[in-house]
Amino acid sequence: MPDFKFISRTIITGFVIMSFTTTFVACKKNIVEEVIYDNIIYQVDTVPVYQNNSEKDRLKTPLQYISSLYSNLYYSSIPSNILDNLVIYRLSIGDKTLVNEMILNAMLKDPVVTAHIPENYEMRNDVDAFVEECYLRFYLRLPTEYEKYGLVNIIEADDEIDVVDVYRSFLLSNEYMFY
Amino acid sequence: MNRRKFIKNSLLTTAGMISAPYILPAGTIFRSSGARLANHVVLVVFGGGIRNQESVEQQYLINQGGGPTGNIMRNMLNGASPAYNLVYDIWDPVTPSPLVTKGTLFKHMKYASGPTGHFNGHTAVITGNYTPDSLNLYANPATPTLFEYYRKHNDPQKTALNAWWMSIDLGPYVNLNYSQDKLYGSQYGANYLSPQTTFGGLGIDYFSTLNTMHPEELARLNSIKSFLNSNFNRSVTDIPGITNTDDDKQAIQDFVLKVIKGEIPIEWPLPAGVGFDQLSGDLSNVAISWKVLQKFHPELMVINTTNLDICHTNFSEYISYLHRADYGVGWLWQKIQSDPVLANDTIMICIPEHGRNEVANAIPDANGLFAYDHTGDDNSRSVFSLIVGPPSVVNQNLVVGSEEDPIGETIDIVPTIAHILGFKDSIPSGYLPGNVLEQAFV
Repeated sequence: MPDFKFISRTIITGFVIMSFTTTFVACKKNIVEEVIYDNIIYQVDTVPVYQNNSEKDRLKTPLQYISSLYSNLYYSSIPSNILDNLVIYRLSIGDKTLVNEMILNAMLKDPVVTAHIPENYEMRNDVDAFVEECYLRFYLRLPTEYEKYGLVNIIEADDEIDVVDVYRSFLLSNEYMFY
Repeated sequence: MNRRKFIKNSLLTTAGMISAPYILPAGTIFRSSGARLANHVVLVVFGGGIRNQESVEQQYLINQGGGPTGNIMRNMLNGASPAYNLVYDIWDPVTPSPLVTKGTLFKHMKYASGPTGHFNGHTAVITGNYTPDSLNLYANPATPTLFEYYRKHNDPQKTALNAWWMSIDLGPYVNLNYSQDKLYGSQYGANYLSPQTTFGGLGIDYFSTLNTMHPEELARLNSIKSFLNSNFNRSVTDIPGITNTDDDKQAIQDFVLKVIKGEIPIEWPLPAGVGFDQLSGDLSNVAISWKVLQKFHPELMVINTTNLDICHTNFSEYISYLHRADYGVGWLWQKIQSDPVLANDTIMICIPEHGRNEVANAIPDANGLFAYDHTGDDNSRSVFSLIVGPPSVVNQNLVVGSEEDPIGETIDIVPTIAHILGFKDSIPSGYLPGNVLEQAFV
């Protein structure tokens, strides 16, 4: 005579094992999420996203470029109506370097932005740190030793260079157009 | 082989290797190909879709179930205005005599192939090639534009400051200043402005307090930026769009900002006593285009008008816009003749991008007049063209072509302008299927 108690206990144990297996061990679909670093707002504790600039091989779209300009200068996301307006305006001029310059210069004149910009004496007090901060803030990477040496030299050799000059140069440079 | 022969052959081979890359497809070693007929060309894509019936045929309301005939384009064409049943305000011509007396009218030309869409029509006029049904509205054209031929083959080569595309609309039209062709492309493209946007509300809102950078600021910018760019392995050529030289860019930016701020006053193409509310988008495009012509004296400019496309729903307004656009063309020609650089050295060409249907649709306007679409019938493929210029170069007061025997196609405009500016023979064979509109020239 079969031992029904034993059989039912075995079946129940089997179900428990199967449920456990299907819940925790079964095949899972790998979900790959691509993260695009184009509109990150860094203010304090900025960390490098790129190890070097060769990782940047994709051109920012006009929308990405303008929104990253805005977030870099205003420390906030660009309101959608301003973004829409500037993207449309950008279409109306064929030379994109020219219109980028206009958009950037208009932002750099905004008192909200100028309130965030360090004073020139702060830059002059520690040019090394300022250069490193600029690379992190605008290029999302640290400068190489050569880049740091070169830019520090340019700034120290010309008393007329101010913080806005440096910011403007980073934000209109070719590397800033890519991610 | 003796030593002397060896040296001679080596020198000849070396000379051949050096010169070979510079031999152009036309077989000439030099870039220049021909004498110029004039040093400036203004092409007006007199667009929006214009029927020959209301323009060169001067049929006015006769196709609307009866009504007067008459000339509503008195700046361009000979003929009296309609005598009655006026659905538009008549403006006195700005030209002392119609432009047709100063040039050649191709009364019936063909837009022979491709969809009768506005962008297709513009593309055909500006590239000299008809477009397929599959034309991508969101990309630059596949074949080179007039601007690229001009900038690549002109000798000496000219900067983008000499080539302008002034479009009333954004949309796909922003892509017509250069093509995707690998031998041409953005490096030979034209400057582009869409004045209603560049100088309109958005321009005023965002840039009216902006000044051009001082030369010292620019020098500092260029010094730092050059250093930054030298450490990145992609250049400005990897970034889409045309680029000007630094000097040209600053000159253009200065111009744009001064117009926005009102420091460069704009003259509007309106007759005395006519209110500003009558200023159409077409006329404002003409006005700003004139300022660009006056400021930079470019050798090549293309302007368009498109307001007439209201003809899909409002025939009376179409008549009114056509009348005003004609005034704008006359006004522009008068301005050109008042400029010491451009006067007597400019050829202006006007051509619609396509026509409109022979049969009206079912949409009446407030005057009970029916509208017209453009869906590819023969009538919507029939256009005219007017070429005006100095009498020593352009045949004056000449009319060629008829409905039965049309002369010329819209794709002939590019080779014609290449002929005027003297670079036609430098364009590689196979690029331009059209012909020079020889009848226009002395």
